[in-house]
Amino acid sequence: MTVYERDLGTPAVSAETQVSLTIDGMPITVPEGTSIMRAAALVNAAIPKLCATDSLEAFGSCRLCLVEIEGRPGTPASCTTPCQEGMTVNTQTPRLDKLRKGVMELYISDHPLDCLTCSANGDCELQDMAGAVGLREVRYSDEGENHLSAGKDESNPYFTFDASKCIVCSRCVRACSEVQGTFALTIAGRGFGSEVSTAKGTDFLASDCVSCGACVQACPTATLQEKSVIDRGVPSRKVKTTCAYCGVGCSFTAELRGDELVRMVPDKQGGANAGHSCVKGRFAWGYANHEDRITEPMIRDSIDDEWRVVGWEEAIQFAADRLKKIQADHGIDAIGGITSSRCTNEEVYVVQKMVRAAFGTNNVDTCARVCHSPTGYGLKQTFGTSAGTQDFASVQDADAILVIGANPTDAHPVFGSRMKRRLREGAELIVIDPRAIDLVRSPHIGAQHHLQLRPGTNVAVVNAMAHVVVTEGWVAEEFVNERCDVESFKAWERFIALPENSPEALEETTGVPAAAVREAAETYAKAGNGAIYYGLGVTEHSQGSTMVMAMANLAMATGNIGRPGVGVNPLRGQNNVQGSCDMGSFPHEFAGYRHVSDDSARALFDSAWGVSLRGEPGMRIPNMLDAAVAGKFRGLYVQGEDIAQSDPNIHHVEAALKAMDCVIVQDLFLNETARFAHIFLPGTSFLEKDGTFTNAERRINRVRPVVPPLSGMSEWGVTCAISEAMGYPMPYADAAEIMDEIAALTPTFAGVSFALLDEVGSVQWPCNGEAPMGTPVMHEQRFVRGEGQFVTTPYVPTDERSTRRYPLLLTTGRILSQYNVGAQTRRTENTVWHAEDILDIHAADAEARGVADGDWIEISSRVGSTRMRARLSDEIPAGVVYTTFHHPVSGTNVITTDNSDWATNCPEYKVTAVEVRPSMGAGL
Amino acid sequence: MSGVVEQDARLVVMANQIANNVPVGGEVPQQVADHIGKFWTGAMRADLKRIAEHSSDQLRQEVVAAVALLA
Ligand code: SF4
Ligand code: SF4
Ligand code: SF4
Ligand code: FES
Repeated sequence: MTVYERDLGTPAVSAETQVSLTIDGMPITVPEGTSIMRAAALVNAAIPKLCATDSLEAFGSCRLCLVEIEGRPGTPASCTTPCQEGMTVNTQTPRLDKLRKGVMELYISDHPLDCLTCSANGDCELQDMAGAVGLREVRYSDEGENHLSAGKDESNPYFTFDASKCIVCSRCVRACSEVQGTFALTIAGRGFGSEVSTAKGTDFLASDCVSCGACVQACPTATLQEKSVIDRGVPSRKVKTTCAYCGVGCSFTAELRGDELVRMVPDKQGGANAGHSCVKGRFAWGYANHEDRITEPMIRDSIDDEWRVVGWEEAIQFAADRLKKIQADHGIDAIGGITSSRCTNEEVYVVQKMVRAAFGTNNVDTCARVCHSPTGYGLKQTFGTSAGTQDFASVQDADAILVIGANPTDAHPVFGSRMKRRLREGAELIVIDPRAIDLVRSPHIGAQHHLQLRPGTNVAVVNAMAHVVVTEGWVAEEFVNERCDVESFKAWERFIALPENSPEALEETTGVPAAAVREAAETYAKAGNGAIYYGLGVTEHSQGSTMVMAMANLAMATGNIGRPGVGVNPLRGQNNVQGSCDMGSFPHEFAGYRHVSDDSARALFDSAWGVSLRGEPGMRIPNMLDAAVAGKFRGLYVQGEDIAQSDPNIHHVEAALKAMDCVIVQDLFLNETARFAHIFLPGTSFLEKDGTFTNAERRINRVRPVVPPLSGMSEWGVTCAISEAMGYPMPYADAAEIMDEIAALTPTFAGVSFALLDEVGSVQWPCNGEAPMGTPVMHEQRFVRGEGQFVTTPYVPTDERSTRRYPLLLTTGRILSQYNVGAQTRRTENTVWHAEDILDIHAADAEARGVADGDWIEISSRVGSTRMRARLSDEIPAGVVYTTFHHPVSGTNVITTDNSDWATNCPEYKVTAVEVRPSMGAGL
Repeated sequence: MSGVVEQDARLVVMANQIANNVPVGGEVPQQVADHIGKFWTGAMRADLKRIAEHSSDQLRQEVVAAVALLA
């Protein structure tokens, strides 16, 4: 175990001054403020402890960690006593031994002595400490007052709370407050009667608990214990890997017994998560072995036929023959592929390579089209590359945090917890969102400014903020003059200063009071470090790309780029959105965002791949679907995506899929798209993958195989086999070799290799000769494109407007316990929190329509209608309704339209004009 | 609506939307042509040219001007 894997008792301290002291005769120098407990652990003089752990601030309640300090009276607790210059500390003396034994004796006397049959046997700090202090007997009987018959709370699907084993160390309470920031737990009662309780006094399931598991991890006993450990036993081996759900990209240790996964424990050294996780990564992995998984290839001639299970060879040949025939009959460009943001960089890279080199077309696109393509476009235009500017840790240095169209506590929970910690420390918060997301008002946090705008008016609001910055004279002149293209700044300044961009002029359009915009602009511009975090509420609009540029303009104008604490940061949806874009999944770009018309980039790939690549862009997903309906596009390889559920205007998607001669789906489950497929290729879960994911902060993390692929083949291996059957072999020995090729052909990845990642854990690209260990903060000295480019961003209202027929605006989002179209999370016990999609509607709108809380309603737009239950909510303003898209039965995308971003065709999921009516029932 | 007509209709919407949204300050037709040149396939560009020839009334003026600038 490295020193970092051990529990050093109290958190690391950073201080400029160092102090030197002696512990048990050993000298050590530590940053001022470090606890004696931590310093002792660093010299391997581990001091017994129960209430301390290095993920939490010291608390000093158990009195087990006492030490003696020469020249000082008494026996202070080492966890709460800071080191001082010249101190001499003794951690082992007869007096301390006796005191510690006495403390342990009291604990053990009120603890069930069922160690041998306890689920935590061998993994219990209480047991370890009894051993460490040499406790052999307990002088007190269990006849006095005790807690041994206290009951169990089994309400949470993933962990139990067995109160009889609780030592009231309060680690769980502190984990919930300090690490997770939910404040769901408390210590109720006093003295001997004190006990852990939920803050609401309910069981865990009914409490505010979000099931992040931080308390379970912090608990030193079996009181809070994973049910999987109770069922399967204490793990016996570990593999480090990366969560496959969201763009935070948390590092985990998968703990197994044989080949059976017992639990996922977030990795303290994880660059993205520093030991924390959310319910999805820690607990919702049961889908990986769900009975619905398809593990054998299947084919059929027509989508009306039954599936036929075949061997890999037959499936691969069948796919290649069909694709070749289509090309022979309808031309090279009649086929294409879609890569998945759930797959590894290596898996994505080989799919786009197969399309470009084996198919001979640039018709490759990625599911990121429907989420963050405007980020790619907007940040490339302004900063020069398509990526967030900061690492997650940067938020700790932010003074004002601007959250736009994102809901970090639900969609990016571990980052949300980090952000909440900074907000509790005093950073100011500005939320721009039609909904009152949790951050607007949650325990110990409140947004100073909530600009509750009308859906579809993002650009108007941010333009208005920039107008205030410019007209009030708050522009960071020095930064603009030194770092940005001054001509473009001047043009932008003239544009943004126009009266039509003032908060007053736009108030009626946006619904946001001008004074609120002015105050928010001042907070952001004058805070010192202003940081922007945004999500799909920015990108999934007809002006998604314009909005990304508007935010970049605002950040540059206020000098909020190029150092910790600032920046413009997309919170990516799926785990590998960043990576799938980096890997050349867009039809107009090779890996590393080089346009296909760039002769030198093309020459590089031509020579490495031994082909002659096309220099003009291929089709985007919506173009492919349109061309399919027109009969011109007839074969599609879909990697790990469910476009028949996740893409807008489902009827159109289905018509396109039905029109094709060959649809190949590579996935874990027979998803909605597979209904239209001719070939089903079983995919691998993240527990079976070997490769890398790149998270929203450009961090490249290893995902390591925990068990072999259930289907017998890696996903990249299947892609390579199809490519070979098409006549273009891609012979890689392993995934590491694929990364070596990526590194050789992509300047920002030049230094990346599996060997480096295995050595240092993770790196953030660019990682190359100039930055061998990666780049946490981008654009520090200069922008990637040289000078920052200001772009004028006129507000253009969307065509999707409320009308008499469709008077409400529907906006969509996601919730914590479910993930995207829910293919994974719906196959776990997370459904206890979100069994169905529900429509949030304001009480006034509900009343006007005769809808009560919990009623079934029909919601319709100009393209379709669906049914779900309604919930009255004051989180959204009147005129706006809100739902999620996690369940196929509600089919939210039946009603979303095919409006899209003007520059990238990212669908406008966030604005659909709808009407809501009472309905008799599900009716589907 | 047949698939081809539908596809044409979509190209019209896309092209008009680009013209409506490009940054202010520059020449709109040139910006539209640059954008389409960078992101559209040859077949889509050819379709747009065909539409501009036969039904230019569906397209904004700047798009018609942009089509003339397309390679
Ligand atoms: S699981 Fe997380 S949210 Fe729930 S009580 Fe524990 S720490 Fe708090
Ligand atoms: S539940 Fe565990 S962490 Fe919480 S007070 Fe009890 S023993 Fe300590
Ligand atoms: S925050 Fe995201 S990456 Fe981290 S555990 Fe949760 S779902 Fe996984
Ligand atoms: S570990 Fe120091 S008082 Fe509990």
